[in-house]
Amino acid sequence: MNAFAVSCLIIVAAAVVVFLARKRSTTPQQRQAEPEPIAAPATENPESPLNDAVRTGVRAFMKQHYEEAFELLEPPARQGNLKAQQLLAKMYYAGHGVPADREQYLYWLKRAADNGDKPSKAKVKKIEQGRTEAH
Amino acid sequence: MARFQRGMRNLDIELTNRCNAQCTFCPRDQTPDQGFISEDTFKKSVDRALELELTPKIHSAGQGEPTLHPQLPEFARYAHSKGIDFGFTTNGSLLTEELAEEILDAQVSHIVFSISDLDEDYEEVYALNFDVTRANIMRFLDMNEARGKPVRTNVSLVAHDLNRHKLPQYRKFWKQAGIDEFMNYEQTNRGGACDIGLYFVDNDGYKEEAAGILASNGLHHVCGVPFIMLFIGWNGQYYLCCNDYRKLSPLGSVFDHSIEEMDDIKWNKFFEDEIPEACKNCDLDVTNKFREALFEIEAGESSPDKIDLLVTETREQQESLEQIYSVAK
Repeated sequence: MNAFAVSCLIIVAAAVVVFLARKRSTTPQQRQAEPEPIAAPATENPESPLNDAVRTGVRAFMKQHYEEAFELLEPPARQGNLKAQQLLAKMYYAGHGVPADREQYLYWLKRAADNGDKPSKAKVKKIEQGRTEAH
Repeated sequence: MARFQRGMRNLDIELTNRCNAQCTFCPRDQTPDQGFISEDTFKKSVDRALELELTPKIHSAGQGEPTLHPQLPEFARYAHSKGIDFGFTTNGSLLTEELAEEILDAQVSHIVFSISDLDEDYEEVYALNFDVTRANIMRFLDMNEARGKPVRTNVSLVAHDLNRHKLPQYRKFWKQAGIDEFMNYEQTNRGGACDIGLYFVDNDGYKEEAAGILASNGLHHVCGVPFIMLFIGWNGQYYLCCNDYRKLSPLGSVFDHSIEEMDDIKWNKFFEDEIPEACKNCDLDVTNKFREALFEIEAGESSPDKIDLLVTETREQQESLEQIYSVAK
C-alpha cells in the first residue's frame, strides 16, 4: 500500500473519530430539537476533513451503516455540503439511522434545493403545493 | 472480416438525453449538450446496424427519456421496416393512450419500464407522479394484451436504499399486472458520474497490484461493455459506452465510421492511454474492479477470496467476449 493511501486512511480515520466523539453525547431525538444553524457553504477543497467525512459517510450509507453515515454526514450537511444534505433528507425520509421525521426531511430537502439541487427543488415544490391544496 | 460475427449485440441509439424525471440514482444532470436526435442521424445509425453481418437489436435507452422524442413511433416504424427488433426504455410517465396506440401500431418489439419503486417512494426517488405512471403502464399492458401481446414487456429494478427489501413485493405487483420479464441491477457509478462511496475513485492506490493480478492470471484490461452494448449519442457521435454520462470519449460520427471501424477504434483506445478517459472512474472497468476489491480487503470489508471470485468472473466475461471477437487481437 502506498504512502498516499496510508495518509488518506489516516485522515479518514481521524475524521471518523472526531465526528463520532463530537456527536456521541446527543441522541437523534435531541438533535432534531436543536435549532438549525445556517452555516456558510463548505469549502470545495477536496482534501478538507469535511470532504473526507462526506466520502466516508457516503460509503457508510451505501453499505447500509446508516447510524455511522448520519454521524459523519450531519456536520458537512450543516456546513452546506450538497451530497450530505441529499443523504440526510433520504435518511429522515426513510428512517435510516434516525427516526423518520417529515419536518427534518423537508428541512434538508430545502437546504439541498437552496444549494441548487433540482430534484430537491421539484420535491419541495410538490410538497408545498400539496400543503397549500390541503388548506 | 467482421470481428463480431457470432454473437448478438445491442445497439443503443440515444433519442434524447433530456428527461422529465429526476431520479436520485441517475447522474443525468452531468450530461452536457442536451438535445434530440435528428431523423437523418437515427436512420444512418439504423443503416450502420444493417451493415453488420449479424444485425444487432436496437434498444434506445440513452441518457434520457425516449418518449420525449416526438418521432419515436416514426423511428420505430423505420427500424421495423428494415427488419430490426426495436425497443426502448421508458419511465412510463408520458405513455399516453395516444402514444401507446402509435407504439403498438409501429410494431415495437420490446419495452423496458424503468420503475424501481411504488407509491410515495416512487415520487421520492423519481420526482414523478406515481398514479400517472401506474395508470399509463396498466393501460399499455391492457392494450398490448388486447392485441395478443406483440410487445415483450420488462421492468428494470435498480436496487437502492429505499427498495432493497421491497423488491420481491414490487416484482409480484408487476408480474400480476402482466409484465413478462424483470431485470435486476445494483447501482453502478455510471462512469464515475455518481458518487456511490467507492474507494478507488478517491485514491490512486493499487493500480500496479491490480495490473499484476490481471497479468498473472492471463487476463487483459479491456472492458467488454463497449463492444457488446454499442452506443450512439443523439448527436450522432459514437461513445465508448452508455455509462459515459459526461460524454468524455466521443469517438467519431456515425456518418464517418461504420460500427466495425468503431470496434477497432474502441479496442485501440484501451491501449493508447493507460485507461480511456471515460473509464478512469468507472466501477465496471476491469482494473478498477480489482482495485476496489483490494481497498475493501484492506478495510476489512471483504475477505481475500474476493480476488479469486473476481478472477473467475473476469475470465468468464473475457472468454465470452473472445468467443465473439473473431480476429486475433
